[in-house]
Amino acid sequence: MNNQLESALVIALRETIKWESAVEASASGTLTPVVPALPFDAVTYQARDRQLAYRDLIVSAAVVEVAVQVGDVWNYSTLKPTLQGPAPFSLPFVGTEAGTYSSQIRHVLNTSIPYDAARYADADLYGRDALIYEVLARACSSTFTDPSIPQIDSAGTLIPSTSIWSLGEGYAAKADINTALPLDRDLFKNPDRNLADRDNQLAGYVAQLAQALKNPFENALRLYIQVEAYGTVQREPDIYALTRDDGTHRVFQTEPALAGANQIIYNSQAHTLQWIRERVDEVHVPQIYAMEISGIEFGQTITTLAAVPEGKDAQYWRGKADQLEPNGIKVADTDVELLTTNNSATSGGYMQYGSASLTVPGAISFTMNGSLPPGDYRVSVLVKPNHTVEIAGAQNVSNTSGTLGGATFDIDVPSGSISLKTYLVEDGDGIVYNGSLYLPGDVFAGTNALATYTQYGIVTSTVRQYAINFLLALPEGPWNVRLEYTNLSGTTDSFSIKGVYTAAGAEAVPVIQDIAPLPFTTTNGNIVITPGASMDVANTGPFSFPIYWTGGDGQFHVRKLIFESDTTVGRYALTGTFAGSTAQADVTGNDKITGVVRWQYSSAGSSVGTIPLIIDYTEEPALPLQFQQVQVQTLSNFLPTPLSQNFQGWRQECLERAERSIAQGYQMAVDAYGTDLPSFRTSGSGWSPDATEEWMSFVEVYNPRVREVPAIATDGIADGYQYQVDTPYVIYAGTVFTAGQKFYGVASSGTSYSSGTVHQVGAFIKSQPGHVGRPALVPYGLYFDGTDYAAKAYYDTPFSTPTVMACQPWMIEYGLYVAQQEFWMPETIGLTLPA
Amino acid sequence: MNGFITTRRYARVLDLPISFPQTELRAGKAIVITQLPLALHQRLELRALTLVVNAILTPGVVPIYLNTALSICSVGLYQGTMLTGPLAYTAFTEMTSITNPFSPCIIETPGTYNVIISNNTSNTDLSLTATGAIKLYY
Repeated sequence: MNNQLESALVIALRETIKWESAVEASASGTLTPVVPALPFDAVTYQARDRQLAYRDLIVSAAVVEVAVQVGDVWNYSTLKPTLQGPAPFSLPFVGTEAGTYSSQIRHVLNTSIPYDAARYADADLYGRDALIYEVLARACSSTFTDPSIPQIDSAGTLIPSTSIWSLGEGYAAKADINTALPLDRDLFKNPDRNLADRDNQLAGYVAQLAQALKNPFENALRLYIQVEAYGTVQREPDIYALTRDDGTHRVFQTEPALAGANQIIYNSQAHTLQWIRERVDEVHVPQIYAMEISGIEFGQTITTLAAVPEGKDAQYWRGKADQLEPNGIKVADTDVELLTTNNSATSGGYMQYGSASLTVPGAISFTMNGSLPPGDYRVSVLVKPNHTVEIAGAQNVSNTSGTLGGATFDIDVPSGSISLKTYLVEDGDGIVYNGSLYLPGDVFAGTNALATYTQYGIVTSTVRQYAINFLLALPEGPWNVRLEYTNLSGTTDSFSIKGVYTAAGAEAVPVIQDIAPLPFTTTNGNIVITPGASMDVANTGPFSFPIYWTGGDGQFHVRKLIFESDTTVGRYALTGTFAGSTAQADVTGNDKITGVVRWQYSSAGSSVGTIPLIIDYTEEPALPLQFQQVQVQTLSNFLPTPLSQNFQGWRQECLERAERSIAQGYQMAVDAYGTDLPSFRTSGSGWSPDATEEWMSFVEVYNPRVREVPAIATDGIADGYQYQVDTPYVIYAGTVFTAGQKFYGVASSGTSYSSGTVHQVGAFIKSQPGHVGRPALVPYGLYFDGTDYAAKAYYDTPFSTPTVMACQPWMIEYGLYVAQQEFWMPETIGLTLPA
Repeated sequence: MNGFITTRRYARVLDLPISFPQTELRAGKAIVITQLPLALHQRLELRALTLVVNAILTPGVVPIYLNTALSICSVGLYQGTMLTGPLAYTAFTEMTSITNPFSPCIIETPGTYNVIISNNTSNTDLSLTATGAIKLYY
């Protein structure tokens, strides 16, 4: 803003801008026109003056409007006039009505004709009103993020940035043009002088306001400060409230209000601003006041936002929580983790449906990648004791794979396709393979060395796969076996299936009998389960369990082999080897109750690249154990924030505020959806990991920064969500963002970005084994049903309000989210790790 | 009561003490010292758990740890029985150990919750005392 109206600061302000004889002017901004060719009509001149008086009232209302905004933003009450009636605050403006904008008034003289009052004096008064208003509007526009009054000449082509101010011969004396008065100079000049005086008053108010806008630090009771560096918001806008004013130093402080920290100090003598953050290891050199000043670090800026503070979300409170480090042991996540174990990172044990497992004592190894510094680690593994052992069909040792993890038997195997499998000859006169004759019904073992066979005789025979074999070990005792199977092609109404248990060095024991064919009366691809068959496992050693397809047309497909016992409790003595050292865990688990096994290690050296975790299950063989996830965390000491002794609960407080903000947003979403509210439960009150994701999406409707989502697809940018760059840089909407920088998705900027990768920013992250006990965001009413061994949602969407509570192992399995580690507190107090 | 939009209001609050007087806990043993069934519309806040080792009853032995992550002995709040997965816990490392009362363990999920004290060695008998406080809103 410029120095317009500076001299108006000396004017003694009156409290009220009186209504006087003002009449509402045209909404278009024009005055009643004077036609000089017509006979003189005093009423026309009177109307123009009264309309000008009304325009003064509009300017007055604008002054009040801006003063109110100053109060809203800076939280203090500025001077503002009293109005005697309502008036709009947006001044209509027509450039042709205005005379000069120099703030001078060309009043009528004794030598003037009446028309001069209109074409000179009224025009200048009109221009003066516009000038005063525009000065205020420009000041408002250049200060506030969301200015309260509009400009009338935003291009700046009509109203100049006049720096000269005259009093316009203003004189406070109510006067009107009236035909009863003598037709002389004063008939016109006195009303105009009165109008000029009203303008003087308004100019005085505007000058005062402009002063307040230019330097809010002199009077503000509240500042709204944002710190950023290189385009990255380091601290989201914070409210700094005036806590002390000794006449020279005006001290504003934000939370956490540590002694002598988190302050902005305005020195009213030196006109400087100084920022003191929660750590005082580096001092901020006081800067001459401005709305944006340099910060402590190179490239850092401290911006005073002229805006009304908005409601704060969970991500904001995450940042605030991070501004204070408590005293104690710090547990921090690393990138060394396994989110699933049914993959090539696992070696040893037996792979079950969905996860790796040790069904009996033995060793299993998980290979993770990443880097770890020297120090203390905590390794947590999400486990589930389970007396139901589910082996996917494709886990056979007969080189047979199939759709959805199953094993599909080969049919109509042509010559040239024989491999290391067991085959059956059907129909015809037989075949010759590897020098031997096989007649219809004969079984032969294929080899990789010879893939071809020849037909024997006239009538052609066909060859199909006969068996697949599984190798497994189970705790000794009684087990029940079932087989999930289907037909994938052709037509059949039954299958003859045989399953045989063969312990090492022992006789084969038929378990699934093929005496009577098993019916298949459903659509191809639908799963059918065989009746349970009992078997006794003689010892914990590996045994083979071949499945034979002995009869039936179509194409036999084994989806899953299921073994089940009635053991409900198991003890697990587990030795974990990690980063060159070993640690013990000895725990008891209950059937289908998810738990976390945890080890702690100390390593003098760093680990980079491939980092294995080897778990040796030494005893007791009773209840098979599934391993679902692995997470490595580091243990170190917090570097406690100085003078924070009375703020131990700060992070918890931030978490509670985050919870409230999320709950409020959730309620808003519920209200907004009304009767069209989606349900996330599955089959009644059931819950699933997918339900968690869908529920979180609903939580995000009014809380877009709740959930951190890794690796957003290049066309996955959504409006209102915030993203942070992971890799060197990305380009979004033509702007380059470097690693660590954040940006918001904007509908008009599209959904795509290019180059690197980004993640969605949020205050909560998907839970992992190391997060047990940490605060999790849980739908109210969600619980683990100990009868069905599954999560259930007691309430549907309207009442499943997000609630922060301790993360339980089953919540990790169901993919619930936990608060980011900035919210975390030490698990115990008074303890630190030895140096 | 509650100035924010939530679905929950509680009529009363009950302070439940956890008191495990000085007791000999043999090597490898764990005892459930408190069991609390929590129903829907109830809220449990574990405010503090304190563990004191009064005496080592098997002097002169080097402890063999069964659960290295839990130190020589520990007390914690559990859902389930797996000792290494406590919702809140404190493990003995110095004279007295206490959970962080500034970060209460909050539970609103129905279920049965146990406070378990455990001797995490296979060769050292201990004399232990545990105290604590639970707030139950209902």
